[in-house]
Amino acid sequence: MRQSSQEGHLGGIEAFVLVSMFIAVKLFLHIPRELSWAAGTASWMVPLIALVGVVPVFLCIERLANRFGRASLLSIAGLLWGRYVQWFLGLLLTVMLVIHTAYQMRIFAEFTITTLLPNTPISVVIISIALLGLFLAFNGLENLSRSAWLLFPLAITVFILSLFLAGSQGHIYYLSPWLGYGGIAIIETGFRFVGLFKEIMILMLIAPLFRNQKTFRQVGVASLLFTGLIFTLVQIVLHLNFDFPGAREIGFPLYQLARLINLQFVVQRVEPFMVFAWSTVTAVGLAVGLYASAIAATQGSRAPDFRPFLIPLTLLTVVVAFFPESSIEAVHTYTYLMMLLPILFYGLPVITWIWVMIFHRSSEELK
Amino acid sequence: MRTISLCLISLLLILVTSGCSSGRELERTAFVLTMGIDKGVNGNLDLIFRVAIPRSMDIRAGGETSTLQETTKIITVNARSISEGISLASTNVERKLDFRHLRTVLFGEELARDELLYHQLDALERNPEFRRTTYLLLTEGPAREVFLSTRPVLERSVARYIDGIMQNMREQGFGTPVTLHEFVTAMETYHLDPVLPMVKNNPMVQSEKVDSKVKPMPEVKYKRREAGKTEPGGKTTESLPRSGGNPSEFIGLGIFHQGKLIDKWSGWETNSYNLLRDTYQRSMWTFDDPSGHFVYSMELERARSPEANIDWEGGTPHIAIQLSLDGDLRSVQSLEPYVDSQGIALLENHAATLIEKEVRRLIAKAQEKKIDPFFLSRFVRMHMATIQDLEDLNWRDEFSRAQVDVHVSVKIRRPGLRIQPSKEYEYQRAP
Repeated sequence: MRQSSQEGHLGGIEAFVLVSMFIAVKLFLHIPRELSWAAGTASWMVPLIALVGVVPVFLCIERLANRFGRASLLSIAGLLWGRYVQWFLGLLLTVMLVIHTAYQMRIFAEFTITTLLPNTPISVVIISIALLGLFLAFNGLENLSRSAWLLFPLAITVFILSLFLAGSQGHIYYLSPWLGYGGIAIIETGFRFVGLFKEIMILMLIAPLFRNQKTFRQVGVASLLFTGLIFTLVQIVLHLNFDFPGAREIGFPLYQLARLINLQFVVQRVEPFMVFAWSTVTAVGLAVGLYASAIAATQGSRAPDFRPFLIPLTLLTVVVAFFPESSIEAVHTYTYLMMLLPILFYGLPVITWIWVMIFHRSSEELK
Repeated sequence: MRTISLCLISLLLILVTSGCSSGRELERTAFVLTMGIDKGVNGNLDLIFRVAIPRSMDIRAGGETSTLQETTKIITVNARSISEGISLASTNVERKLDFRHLRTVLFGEELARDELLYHQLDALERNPEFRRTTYLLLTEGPAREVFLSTRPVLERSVARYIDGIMQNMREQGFGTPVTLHEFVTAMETYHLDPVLPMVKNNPMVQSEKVDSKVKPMPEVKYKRREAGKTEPGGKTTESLPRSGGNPSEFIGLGIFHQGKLIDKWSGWETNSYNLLRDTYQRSMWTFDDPSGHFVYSMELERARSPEANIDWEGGTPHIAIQLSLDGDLRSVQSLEPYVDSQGIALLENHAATLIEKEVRRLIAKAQEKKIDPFFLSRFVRMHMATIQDLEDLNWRDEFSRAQVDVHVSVKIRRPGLRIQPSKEYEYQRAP
């Protein structure tokens, strides 16, 4: 893939923060509640089991990137199956990423209205976050990753502190019965939720931006482990404070956890800090989503620069964000998408890797 | 061109991100500090709102107020639901009613007895203005009566009044603070019956009210009203023999089962409840002296979380509960020289025996009604693997026929600022 002259290489730590934030956006939405629905008291095990399911997929991505000199997956697909397949896969990925980002945008807007800005029209919130995302993405992934890295220490400190304070008020017995709906059920649920980490697919689009294979591999592994740990921690704290019948009905789990922090006269009403962490991660995550859709379109069509795609795709994202008639519909569809999108996001690298292993013996083509 | 574009984008961002459309100016907001809910006529609700008058609390603005009645105003409306009540109340208030600073919600007893209390919680949970850290209280009689008669002894700020009362419950016992979150979680938890702290009007103090002030009654009248009260304060659910102060008393618990208020427990029983439920922090305990005359007092705090071992052998559950307390000796009215190793052990064992007796009595009371507000099932579920096991557990029946052993350990760590009690050298108390 030809990169624009404006696109620089990604630093390891910046890329780790960026990918982690992209994955973690859903944590601030309704997903902790969905995990509680599916796995009851053992919902904290779901991210760990899902992580086990995602590791082989990431290994496929990593092996492919290694074999083709960190070419993007769409370029590899073009090489293997021709430009029309590359174009089609690029289009498919673009559409899926637009839908995914649009639904995240819509749910973010719904939650903002529910909690903070009850009288603000939803269009104002969606357009605002879309403009912010567009601005961040327009300057390229290198700049976006540096912004994310600058915001990360404060956001993670606030986040961990809030979780610690909320957790300290909870009760360990709400985590029992320890296996939720049973051992087999929890493993099955864990694999059903492999989509928790589906955003790791961005690595197959931005592989050319890494300086070397080692950094690429480290970023992937660290992002998966870090987000897996955070997902697990959130579920534990949620269930320390809410017994499972209540946890699965919480409208906005992380925000409501932060609102529970009440250390008598001293520490209370601290949820604005959590809102800061939430807004930061969401803004960066949505910007990465917009960038990813643009870069998929760029690579699919073998265009030289992603920027011409960015504005129309942002516009499309805003349009799709208005599709759901209600918050409930948006949430249901997003959960459904989380189960559906891994078929493409995980299937594509796995099929490509299998194809390469069976039919593609030479590794010299890209050279 | 680039600069102009940036300026235009910045201007647009300022317009759309300022959030002005959801702006709520302080001058246009009426903060509701406490709320009461009573059963009204025709199945409706009577909703009572205590609205703050911020200006009257500001001494710099010329406010000379000293009572809650002067810093707040009470509005009562009859409506079918809380949400409807709020909107109806807004028709006569010139500002928007705002519940973000709501400290407590009081539920009337009739509402709780008629299984209507649970039905009001959804409105409190759903509306983001209500926080789940809001305290809930159950009133003996109508909540509105408590609203109209409450006269904080010192505070004119409702927030400090409520926070102070709740802090006293934690430190002095006789009650247990329950937030909306805790109550709803208790409702949703398997094999647990929720409780609410009680607030009641003291009839003696109530009779001392003249206009809006409480004027302590004369000595003769007080002695006459006090006569016949044989039980120590807090032992029964009756009001304390008391003159002056706040007509409202925060003592005891209301016990719920299947959505209905089924029992009221006294201040002493509340202390035992707190010990078993692990909501106990510290409290003053007063016991009859081992010598048979006078009493002695100890301030005891929780040394460790309660432990329970449940043995299912033989078809009948055996529950062995271990409670650990330690604290300070606060008074020895008998002036007996207990503060040596033998005397301290005597007081400790005596106190432990009396607490055990109280706790056993309360457990038997709960077993009789087939309820478990102590959440003893938590010790069972901690050994469970699946939710199916938890759902299949018939805990209330099992608990009702269980043999319960309670063992209390009391340790006096410090005797206070005095070792043996002071005594006149030649004083001999008449036998």
